[in-house]
Amino acid sequence: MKHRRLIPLIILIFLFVSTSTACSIGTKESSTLVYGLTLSPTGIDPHLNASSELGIPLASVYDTLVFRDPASGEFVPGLSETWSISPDGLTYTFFLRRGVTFHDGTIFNAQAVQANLEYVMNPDHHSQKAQFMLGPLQEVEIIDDYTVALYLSEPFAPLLDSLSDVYLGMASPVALETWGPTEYQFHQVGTGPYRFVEYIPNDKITLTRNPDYAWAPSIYQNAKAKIDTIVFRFYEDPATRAIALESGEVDVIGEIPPHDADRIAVSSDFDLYPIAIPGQPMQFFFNTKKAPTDAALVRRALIHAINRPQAVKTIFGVYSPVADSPFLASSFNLEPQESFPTYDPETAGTLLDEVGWRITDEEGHRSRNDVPLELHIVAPPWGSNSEMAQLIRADWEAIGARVTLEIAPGFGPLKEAQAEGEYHAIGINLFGTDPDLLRSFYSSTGLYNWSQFEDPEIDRLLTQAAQESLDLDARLNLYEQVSSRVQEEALVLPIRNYVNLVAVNNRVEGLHFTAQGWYPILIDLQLAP
Amino acid sequence: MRHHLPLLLSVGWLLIVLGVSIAAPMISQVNPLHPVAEPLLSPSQHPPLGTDALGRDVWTRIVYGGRLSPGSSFAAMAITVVVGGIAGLIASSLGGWFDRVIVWLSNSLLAIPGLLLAMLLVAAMGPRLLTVILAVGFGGAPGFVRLSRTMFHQIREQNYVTASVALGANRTWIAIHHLLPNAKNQLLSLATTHYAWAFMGTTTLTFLGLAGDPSIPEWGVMLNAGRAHLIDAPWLALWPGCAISLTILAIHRLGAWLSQREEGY
Repeated sequence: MKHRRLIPLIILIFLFVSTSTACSIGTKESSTLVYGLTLSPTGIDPHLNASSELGIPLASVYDTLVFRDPASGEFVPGLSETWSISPDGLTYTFFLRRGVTFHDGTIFNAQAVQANLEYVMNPDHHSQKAQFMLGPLQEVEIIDDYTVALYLSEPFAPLLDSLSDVYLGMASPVALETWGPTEYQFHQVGTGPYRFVEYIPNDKITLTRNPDYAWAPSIYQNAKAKIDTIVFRFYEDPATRAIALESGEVDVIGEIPPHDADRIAVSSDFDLYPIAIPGQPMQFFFNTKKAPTDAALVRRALIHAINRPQAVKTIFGVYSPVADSPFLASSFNLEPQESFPTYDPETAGTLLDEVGWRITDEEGHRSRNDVPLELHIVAPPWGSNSEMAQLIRADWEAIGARVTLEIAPGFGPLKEAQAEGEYHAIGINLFGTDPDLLRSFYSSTGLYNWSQFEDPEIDRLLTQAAQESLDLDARLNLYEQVSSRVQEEALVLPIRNYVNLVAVNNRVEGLHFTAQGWYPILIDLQLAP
Repeated sequence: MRHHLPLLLSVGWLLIVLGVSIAAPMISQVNPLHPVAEPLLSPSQHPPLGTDALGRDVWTRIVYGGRLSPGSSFAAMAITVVVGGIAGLIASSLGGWFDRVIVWLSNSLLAIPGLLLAMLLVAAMGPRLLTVILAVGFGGAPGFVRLSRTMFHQIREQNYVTASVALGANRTWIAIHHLLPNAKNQLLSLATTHYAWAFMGTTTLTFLGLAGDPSIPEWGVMLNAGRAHLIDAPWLALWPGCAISLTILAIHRLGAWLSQREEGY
């Protein structure tokens, strides 16, 4: 009797399975690509949220007024065909492209630009990144339907770079108005080669190709997108990423752990793209407000004590260059002026002896006036910072320090640990294409001035550099002076230049990235037949 | 004799762990926190157990882990037994209002699984090995209160206790002279069984990264670090995994034997 009841159930299961496989065959015919993201952001409205991850899908949903050529770093026309900067650097005029429509049919014009910038600057919207990228922007004036002027209260050299980034991508003013700051992230409307379909937090983001796209900037190779649907899924645990690729779950995935990358690199089914990310190197700031790292000589000794090439090789294999400068890893080719302290534990010991931290017990521990040399490291949990901190600890213990290590479980706890001020070294770095990024790390009042160093000379140089909007060489020269000063004071321990290891199923062709490094140019992707 | 073989093996393993952890600095001269060779060397290239992802000697870390893992879970178990045992004793000997409050409190805490309770405690106190010990210790206490209270109750029902009460003995005297001495053996077997739970609890929490410092040579921490290398260096997860499983099995076998003996088999 029991078996008879089972038969309809089995038939039902069969039907279900066969229809679902039929469905999946159906979607494969209309080309779908699955892209693995590595972090599930808390919000994905680029105008309001700050995650680097959100730009991976959304840089193809939005176009920007200007684009930045990944090879030369030059600005090229985007939604703005030409632009002019007044000699005093206070007025930027953009002459907009005609015939551009948003995905919802709204016409792109000067009113749209004004609506976007005002949406970002609205203090009630609490934009985490975009509003700061606009710097001293005062007013947006509509000159005519296709001409718009931006007025600044003081010169601001990073403005064009800001306007080339997805955080200031142009969104449909109708959609912004309809959905408002809390709902818009689920209903994003841009002018880009891909349309936003849906975002289900912690599950997926879906894009579909925009058949009406006819205003591709020169940095795109294709005029229209080739793949119909792109689905983005989240793989937060690094150990699952390569497996997701190898099992066919995803076609492209970033931030592969280096030891998995070795396997991908030699595989005949997959390709590895090591992509240099502009921004700061992995780095640890010394706390200049807490003994013993309040002494520049101690900081210098601690840098000498770290075998950075060995540590980078251990953790990142062959894929990462060792960083020798507090400066941006790529895009701005700033050379460090003096040679950076190399691995030299003997010099480290001598320097520590000089300032009174001498070896006082049989195990080689150092102390001064009976105070032991104790150091506390706080490291963020992401991007192998915790592994690096363990190697730093080993190297500092080798020269006689007693070291404790704390891994902050997230960005919030990291900031709390910083605010408590009980650290001697703390890890933090951000990405960006403009060197003005350094201002928030090295100016006295900077949000990330975690070395807590206050220096009028550095402040002056950074302010002047941010205002030097017309002469690029003069600007770079100012940053080089900042670099010298930062190295002189040994404020920071740079470790490695950031390289995103992207692993790709080799049925995917045409993968390349924007100047920001993180964002793939989705319009140029195609699937091999 | 043959039927005692699993027990003998278990006791043998526990003695090995104990001996090795006491003699750790003599067994391995290298620092368990410092790299000694290239990373990810296999056991054949860097005997006996290979190196981990940062180039540290896995054998040394396993040996030192024999101190941290069993030691910290022993401390957690001790907290549970002392706190839970005392609460059970108070509930059982004072009875009435005290009994009801203690039972109500432990029942409501039992609604939350012990490990979850421990995780909440760690979240509140911050990730450190010490807080893991406290959390597992206090997280296991509500369940232990119930067990010990029932046990003390059974002893209270004995005729000799009734006789003492008839002779005018007060509650404290009974607790000290009858309940505790007669509960000794049973308490030992309960504690041993609970030690296996505490061991599982501490290594689970350290595996989840709640010990804070990822460099400590603790078996749960090492198991988690090995997880990223299951394909290219599976032995990194294998050694601490075996150490944890064998130790839990051995403690369980010992606990089972103690309670069987108690029940008169």
